[in-house]
Amino acid sequence: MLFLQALTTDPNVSSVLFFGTIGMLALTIGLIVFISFHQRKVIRYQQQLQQLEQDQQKTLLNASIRLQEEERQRIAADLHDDAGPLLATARLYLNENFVNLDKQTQLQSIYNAKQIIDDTIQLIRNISHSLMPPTLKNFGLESAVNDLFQKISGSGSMNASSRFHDYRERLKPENELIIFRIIQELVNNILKHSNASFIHLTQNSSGQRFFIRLHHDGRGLTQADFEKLGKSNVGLGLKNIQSRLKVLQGRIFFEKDMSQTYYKVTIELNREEDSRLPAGTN
Amino acid sequence: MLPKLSILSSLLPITFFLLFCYKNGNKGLWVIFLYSISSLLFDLFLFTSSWAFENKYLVWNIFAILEYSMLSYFFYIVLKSRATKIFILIFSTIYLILFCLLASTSDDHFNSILSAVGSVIILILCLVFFTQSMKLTSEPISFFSPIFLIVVALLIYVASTLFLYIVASRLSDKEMEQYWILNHVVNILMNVIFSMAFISFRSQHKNPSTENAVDFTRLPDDR
Repeated sequence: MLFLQALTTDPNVSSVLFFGTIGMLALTIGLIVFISFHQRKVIRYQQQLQQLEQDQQKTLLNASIRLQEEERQRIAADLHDDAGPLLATARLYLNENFVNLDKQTQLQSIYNAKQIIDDTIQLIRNISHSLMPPTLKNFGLESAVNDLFQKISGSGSMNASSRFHDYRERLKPENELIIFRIIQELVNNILKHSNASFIHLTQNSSGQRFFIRLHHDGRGLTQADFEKLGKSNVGLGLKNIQSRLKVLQGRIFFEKDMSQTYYKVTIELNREEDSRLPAGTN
Repeated sequence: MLPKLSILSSLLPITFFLLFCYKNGNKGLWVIFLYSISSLLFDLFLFTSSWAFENKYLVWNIFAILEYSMLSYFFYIVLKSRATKIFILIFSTIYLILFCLLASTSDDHFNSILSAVGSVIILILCLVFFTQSMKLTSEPISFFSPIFLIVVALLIYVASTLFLYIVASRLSDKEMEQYWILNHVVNILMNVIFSMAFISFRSQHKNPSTENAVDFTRLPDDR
């Protein structure tokens, strides 16, 4: 207020008015120019971010499509190479009955056909189980993971163990399947690439957060490797993990243990997201 | 010529508002429309009525109160932060009470201090708007958003006339007439930018997909 009064008492009113107005206008124009440049910069930055996100989405979608195609090919190959010949053989045995009327021979060929049909049933069951593990469906993630690790350990190729510390409250079945697939993918990678002698899985919860951690002593990935592979054209399995985690809005961390001996993979989920996710998101 | 042009320039935003924003214009645009109407009416009243011309300082004071109330209400709608809304409410109440008390004692001359303080408050609100808009890094404001253009127009008007208002009380009637040209020029410019704002509102509603940034004319209160 004093400043304003001091200005008004200035005898050279016109110069105050002239310089004051010019100064204010210059400041205003400067401000508008600054804002315009700033906004352009922000918009450009956001466009770049959007572009990156679109690219990432595209890569994930491609990975998901490729994976789906591979899965279809595998099922087609299983059916064509295993079930097809088995059923054809069974048909041949049954055809025998029309040609050979000897009762003993007929009984033998019916028995052989039955054996082959049993094998085919078992084969189709295996294919069906690989699509949706019955243990997971009936008994939940804990049992399915324990089952998977027991099978790995039972094969003698690697020492595998799993332990669920706090899994009294089950996740939604569709989310359990997604997590199970992620674990399968990680375990497959470890079996294929790490040359590890053991894998150990632990599950834990902290408040609303749900953790699964895998330890192994082979060659592993760090977070930087994971991100690099996620952006490249290779690493289909890792992209698949990324896209599955995106559905769950979960996170994954790859790191080397403090002792530099083990590799750790941690999957983190929020149980609130689990309850919010609509059914059938997989 | 220039004073007449300045008065008539208020018709521009009024016409464009009625053409493009009358049906779906939001609160902020309506406030500016009413401001343009009141500005036109006051100017016409001053220009045509001899009583108003004789008591021009009283008429100016009344218009200053109305003008300040409308512009501060405009910012009250536009600015989203709760603290700023409280700031507007408190300062506007104090300012308007002071204005009403002091304006009655200055019917015979231009009240520089009150007008300048009003301008400074509006200037601060313009700066607050820009600061808040720049903070929203995830939602950049469009240079052609109607509200942005309106704030730019107000900023130019207030910044250009601030020093004129400060020195106006020291000017003789003749000097006042001479320097008031600045007010007329800036008033025309402000009305042109207001018109641009209303036109941009129309173009945004016609082609919403071409709008890259957030439309600040769609305020949460209006939904």
